[in-house]
Amino acid sequence: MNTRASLLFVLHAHLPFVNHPFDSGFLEENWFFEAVAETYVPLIRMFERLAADHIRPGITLSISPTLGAMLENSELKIKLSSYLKSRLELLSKEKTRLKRNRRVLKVVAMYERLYMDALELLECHDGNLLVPVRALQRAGQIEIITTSATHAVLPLLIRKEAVRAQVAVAAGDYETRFGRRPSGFWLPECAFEPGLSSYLRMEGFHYSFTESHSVEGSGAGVFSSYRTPNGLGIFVRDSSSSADVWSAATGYPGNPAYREFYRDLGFDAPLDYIRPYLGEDGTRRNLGIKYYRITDRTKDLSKRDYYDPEAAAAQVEKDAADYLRRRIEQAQAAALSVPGREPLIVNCYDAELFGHWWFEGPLFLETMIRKIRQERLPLRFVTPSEYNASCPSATEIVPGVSSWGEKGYFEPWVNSSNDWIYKGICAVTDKMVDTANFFKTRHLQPLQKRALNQAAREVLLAQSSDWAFLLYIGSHASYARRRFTDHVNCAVDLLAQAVGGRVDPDMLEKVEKKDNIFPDIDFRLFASPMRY
Amino acid sequence: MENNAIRIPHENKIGLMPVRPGVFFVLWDFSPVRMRRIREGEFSEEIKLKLFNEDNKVCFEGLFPWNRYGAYISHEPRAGRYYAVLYVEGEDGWITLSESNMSLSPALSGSVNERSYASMEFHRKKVGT
Repeated sequence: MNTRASLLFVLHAHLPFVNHPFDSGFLEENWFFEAVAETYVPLIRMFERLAADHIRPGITLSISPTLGAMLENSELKIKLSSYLKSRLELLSKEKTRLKRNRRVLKVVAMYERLYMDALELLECHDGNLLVPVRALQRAGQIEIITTSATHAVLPLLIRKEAVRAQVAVAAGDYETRFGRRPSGFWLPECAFEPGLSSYLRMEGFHYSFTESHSVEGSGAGVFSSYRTPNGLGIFVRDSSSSADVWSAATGYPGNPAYREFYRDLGFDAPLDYIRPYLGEDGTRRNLGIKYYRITDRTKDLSKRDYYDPEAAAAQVEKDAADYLRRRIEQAQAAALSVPGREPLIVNCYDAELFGHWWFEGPLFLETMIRKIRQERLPLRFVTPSEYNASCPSATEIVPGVSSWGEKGYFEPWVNSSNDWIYKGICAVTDKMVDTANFFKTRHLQPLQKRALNQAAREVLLAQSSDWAFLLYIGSHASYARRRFTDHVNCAVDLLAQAVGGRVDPDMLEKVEKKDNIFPDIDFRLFASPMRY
Repeated sequence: MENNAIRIPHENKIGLMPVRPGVFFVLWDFSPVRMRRIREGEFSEEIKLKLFNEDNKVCFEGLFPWNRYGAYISHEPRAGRYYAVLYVEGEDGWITLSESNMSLSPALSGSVNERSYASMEFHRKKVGT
C-alpha cells in the first residue's frame, strides 16, 4: 500500500522595489511588467480555475513587501496597463508580418491570449492584483506569508536593530495589506542563523523555512517539521525534490520542447520595426515575446526550432506525472524514518521561475494538483498552518547557519564584486540607529519626523539583497550600484537635515514620491531596545 | 571595488560577517580624526586584526593596510560565535581601537554541494551566452 504524504509547496514572489515616477520606459520596471504577465496572472488564474473545480490548491505564496507595494502602486498600474497594450499592439503587427508562417502564428496567438488575460484580470480589479490574491486567502485556497521588509539577508545585518526593523516593518506591512497578522515568514535566500528565531517570535510569526543542510548536523531528517526552543515552527526544504525542478542541467525546465527564454523578439526583429517598443535609448532589449523552443541546448541560440504549445503541454503532462511518481517513492522511503507520522515534503521555489523563466511552470503546477485528485494519488497539498495544526508535537531543534544560495552559505552576497556595499550599509544603519535613539522620546517638528521616516525607508531599501546579487551576477550591475548609492546618500542627507533641524522640503517631497514604500513606517523601529 | 560616490559618516568601527564555514568578512572604518593621525604618522599604516572565539582564544591574526575597507579572514571551520578586534600601532605598541559584533560561523556540511540553486543557474546561463 502506498504511504500518504503531505506536499508543502512554497512559491516566493519577490522583486526589488523599482519605481521611477519621474521617468518613462525605465528598463528595470520591465522586470515587474514581465513577472505580472508571465507569472503572477497565470498563477492567480490557475488558483481560480482549481477553486472553481472544487480543487483546493493549498499552496503557500510568499509575497515580499516590496512586491506588494509595487502591485498596489498607482503609477506602476498605469505603466503596466500601457505595457500590456503595447505588447498587444506589437502582436497585432506580428500577425501581418508573419502571416505566411502558420507555426509562428500559433505562438503569436498564445501570447495574445497571455497579455489579454493579464489586461482583463487587472481591469477586473482596478489594476490591483492583490485583490484576487486576498480573496483566495480568505476562501482558504492558499496561504500568504511575508518576508523581510526589503528582502535583506538577515544574518548579514550586523546591527540587531536593523534585523528587528526588517522583521517588524514586514509584519506591519502584511497586516495593512492583508488585514491580519502574518503567521509565516520566508527568510530571504532561506538564510538562517539561530538568533533570528527570537525576532520572528517577537513579531508573532509562527513558522519559517530553512535549507536542507541546516539540520544536517542534528541528525534530523527533512521529512518532518520542527520547532526551535522558543517555539518557532521550522520547515526544512527537501533538496532532492527541489532539484527536479531547479536544476538547469537535469531539471524539467530544460526540456527541448519548452520555450527558450534567451531567444527574444527584441533581438530577432528588425530594429526599426520594434523601435517603438524599446526604451528611450532605442537599444535592443528583451520584449518578452519568444517564438522558439529550447530544441538542443548544446547548440547556438540561433539553432532553435519554433515553439509548439501543444507539444510543450504534452511534455508538461509527462513531467508532472514523473514528479509525482518520484514524490510517492520518496514518501515510501521517508515513512521508515518518521514512523507513525505522514512524511512531509517541503518544496520551495522562487515564484518567478514559474511562468517567467520556465514558461510552462504554471501549467506544470496545475497539472500536478489536478492529477493528485484525478488519479487518487496518496499525496495532498498542505499549507504550513494546516500541517502544524495536524502535527502539534514537533521535535525541538536548532537549525544551523545556512542559506539556499550557491554553495549553501553567503558567498553570492559577500564576495569581491559586492563586498564594498557593506561598509555603506553598516555606516548608514549605525547612523540611523543612533539618530533614532536620540530622537525617540523627543518632540519633533512634522518635517523632521517625515525626514526621519523617509531616512528609515532609505536605509531599509539600501539593505535589500538584490543589489549585492545583481552586482555578483553582473546583470544590471550599474543600476544596482546607482540604486544602492542613492539610498545610502539619501538616508545620510535626510538624517543630517533632521539632526540639524533644517529639512529641505522639496528634496524630501521628491524622495517621498519616488521611494513611497511603507507609508506608515515609524523611524523609532530602529531604536535600540531599552536596557534595564 | 570601493564606490567613492557614497557619502557615509566615518567612525571608528569594525564589523564581522559570516561568508562560509571558516571564512569571515571583516569591514572597518576610521573617524576623520583617526584617519588624519594615521596619515600624519602618529600610527602605523598597517592595522592588526585578531579573531577570537567565544572562549577568547585567538583563531586568526593578521596585518592589513589601514585604508582598505575590509578583508576576508580564515579560521578553522568550526561552528560557533566569534568576534574580531582591530588594533593600531602607536609609539607605545599596539592599542585596541574597535571590537566587532559577535557573529556565528556556519558548520561544514557534507551535503551542501549536492543542492541545486536554479536562480543562479539560470542567470549563469544568461551570463555565459
